Amino acid sequence: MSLFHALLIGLIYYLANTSFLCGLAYFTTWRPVVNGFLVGLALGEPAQGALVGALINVLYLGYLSVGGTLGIGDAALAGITGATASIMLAVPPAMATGVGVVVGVLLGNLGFPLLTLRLKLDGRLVRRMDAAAEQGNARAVTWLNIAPAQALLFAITAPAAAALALMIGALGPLAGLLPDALTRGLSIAGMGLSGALGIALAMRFVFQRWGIAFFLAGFALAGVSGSLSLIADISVAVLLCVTAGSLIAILAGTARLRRDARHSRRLPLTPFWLWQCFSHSAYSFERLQGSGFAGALAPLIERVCATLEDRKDALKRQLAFFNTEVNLGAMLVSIVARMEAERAAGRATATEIEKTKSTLMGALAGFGDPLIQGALLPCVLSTALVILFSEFAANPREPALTGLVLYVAAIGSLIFAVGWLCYQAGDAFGRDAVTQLLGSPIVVRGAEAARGITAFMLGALVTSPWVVSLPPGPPPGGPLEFVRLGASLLLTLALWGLSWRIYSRPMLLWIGLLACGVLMALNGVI
Amino acid sequence: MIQLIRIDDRLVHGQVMAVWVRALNIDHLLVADDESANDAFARQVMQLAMPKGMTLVVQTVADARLTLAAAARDPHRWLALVRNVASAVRLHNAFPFDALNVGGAGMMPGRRLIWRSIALSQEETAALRALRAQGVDVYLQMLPSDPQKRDW
Repeated sequence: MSLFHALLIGLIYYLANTSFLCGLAYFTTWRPVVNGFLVGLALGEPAQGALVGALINVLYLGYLSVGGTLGIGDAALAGITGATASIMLAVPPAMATGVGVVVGVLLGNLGFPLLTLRLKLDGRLVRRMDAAAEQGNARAVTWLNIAPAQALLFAITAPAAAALALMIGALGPLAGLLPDALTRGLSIAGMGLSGALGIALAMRFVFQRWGIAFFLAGFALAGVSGSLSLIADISVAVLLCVTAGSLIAILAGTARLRRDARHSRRLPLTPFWLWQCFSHSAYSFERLQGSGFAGALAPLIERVCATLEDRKDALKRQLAFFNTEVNLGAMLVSIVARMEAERAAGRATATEIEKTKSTLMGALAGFGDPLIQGALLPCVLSTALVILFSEFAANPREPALTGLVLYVAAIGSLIFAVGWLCYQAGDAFGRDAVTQLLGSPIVVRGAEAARGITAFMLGALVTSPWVVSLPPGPPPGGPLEFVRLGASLLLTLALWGLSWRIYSRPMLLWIGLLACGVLMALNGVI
Repeated sequence: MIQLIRIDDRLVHGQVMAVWVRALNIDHLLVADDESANDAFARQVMQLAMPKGMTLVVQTVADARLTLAAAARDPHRWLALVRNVASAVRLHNAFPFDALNVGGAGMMPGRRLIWRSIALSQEETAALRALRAQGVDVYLQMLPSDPQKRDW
């Protein structure tokens, strides 16, 4: 591992968390499937990086990050270190993938102290924003939320990932000294067992009443057709539809919202872009997205507030603790922006603004997190993973670009469309936009459809020997193949059942799987 | 059965709806909050934020007593939310419970950051200690996968 490569890996970890990707980093570069590929690209083995990233991502399919927390570790760090480890560790090539997955998931836990450090240090930055607000300096509030906050983020993330990469590189040759059974055990656990846990956890969080039926349908169709290629073709169509549908929705929705809007003058787009990009830029325990909200509204506050006192009060008000689902939250940005303009003109009160914010941020998150992170994201991700694993099966030497490109295109356009349309709707209808959105049957059915598709794709993924395989190893073919499929299904369902009992500690189940892998290796299963 | 009683100033929001509700398999949600109970718009948006199959009850803290007393005996799985420590104490006086999850208390003037994003004032900390002295298991925890913090 040269210093240059380590720095590249550090840069990738920053990219996974950056605010400069228009708020889409969390949905793209933060995901192991994307950053694993990027690490592979940096180290000259894009196919290996993409495969390890995709396998790690299966474990994080049902993953949600809400209110400054990490569920089962930092997925981005897991993907990055896992891809690095699989390329740098001196283990036999056949075992590098599985071992990489295990190392990545373990090192992903280092994301907890890193996130804590970041949320604490950002607290200092927020106090500087408080000081700027105290002077009525709106520009400083926006500026502090951008440059110093991103510099701090870079200073935390990049060195950490670079140091881990150097460490993995340095320890690489030593991996060859590990007992063969241990290496083989970890390899079995990483490729073939832990995927089953990822699917089980996703089932746990995504399934609704008919979920299991869609799941079994996906499993049966993939199992009978003998490979993922048929479902992968359907998946390509689904993701193309999502991408095209999102782009059409942006155009048609914007035109319609502007036609029906209550005001002839639209809000400027500055608050939207600032929020979309920098909502989590100075993410602190004290205020969470309060800094992002104030940074987004500060330019407008500067414009509408007539007196210095007025501006100070408005800035301080918007710097208060704030936490919601970001993309639906764009609606609250435009609603509050309009209210601040109304208040400056004497037609609304500060209390009304605070109350609207606190009432709506909870409801929008209560509705939005299960919708975005609990339905739309797992749907697009699991659909893309089916394409990726179909591509890997066809040609393991290629990095599965179709799946990667379609994933980024579909999730990027979908998430952007949600944020954009929410901002426009809040601008057009004020707080009635919230009741319209939450009460919209299209949105509710869309979420149900997304959950159904996810369940179907999860079922299909169980048939991929890369993801779940019991007994571990390459598919045996012939009638034995059905035995393998049945055993893989049973393992997944058993873990699903167990995940209801051990809901608070999914990592325990994962460690149990590691132990199973090592036991199998000791007993010479493969 | 009451699965969880939680202090959370965001009331119905992401951590509750996306994680706790699914982790504990909740089908009935009680929001014991005077402000929301007296605000038609707040009640409406909370109701709209509910997924299919979830029953939402929004009541004042005083009224919540009867609901909780019935909930403790019925077969549904209840999660009760109160906005702050003061409401939790009032609720405990009306309906004694044995465990309290402190999951959301954002930074405000007069409050100090206790742990992660949980901030409490001196009076609130004292009130929680008093609850603990009465035998209530008071713990700080944001998500089921987070550790439960009892030494605050």
